[in-house]
Amino acid sequence: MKIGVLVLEGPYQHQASDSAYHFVKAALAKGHEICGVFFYMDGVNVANQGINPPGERSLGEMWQEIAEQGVELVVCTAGARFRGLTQNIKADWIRMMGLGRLSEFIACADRFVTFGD
Amino acid sequence: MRSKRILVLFRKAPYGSSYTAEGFRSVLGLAAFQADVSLVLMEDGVFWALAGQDPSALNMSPLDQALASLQSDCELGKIYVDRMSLQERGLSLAELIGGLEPVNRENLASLFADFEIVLSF
Repeated sequence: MKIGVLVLEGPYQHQASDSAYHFVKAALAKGHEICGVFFYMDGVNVANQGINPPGERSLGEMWQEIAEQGVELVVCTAGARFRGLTQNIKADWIRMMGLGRLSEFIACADRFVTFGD
Repeated sequence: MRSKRILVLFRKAPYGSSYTAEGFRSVLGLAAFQADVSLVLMEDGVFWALAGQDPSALNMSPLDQALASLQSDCELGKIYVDRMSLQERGLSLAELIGGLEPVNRENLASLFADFEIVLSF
């Protein structure tokens, strides 16, 4: 099955980014295709390359691991502007694109799953 | 690219978080790329449709007008509003902006099943 994912909450404040990571990892392990993961609203904060949690899991590294399996991860351009996430602090394993890319993930997907509050 | 029928749920009150405003932006964006986007307002999301909002003290824009603009400016499907959520909050359809489609709670599941894609804000 082809699955699209939308993440609306930021790392550490909320479980949504963790849950989405575990969902995507499990779906890949079952042989499903992930059309893409779109990070919107505070979800964009996971793209900050400076994430360095003392003594905790690193959501930056976790999502990088997903990207390295060939899944396209996209951070919303407008959401990034709202939060000062510029290209020079954005991690290189995630792309910055607009809602058009979200609509393409939707067009690709048999099922679409939102992780938010 | 084949366009899909998309249903976007709004479950939160309009100003306490960015969910309504960002959900609204996503509907604008998706409507530009996809043919058929409908909305469901449920739980505290029904407050979005309350007419005559004035959030000027918050330095924010009135989101009821944004919702009404979706009806006039986009080729939107329907905007459904959950009757039970209205009842639970002491709201009536007469207090909301016009053009909404009231739906009974027992019909929501079949409504969701009717759309290929459901997004939730």
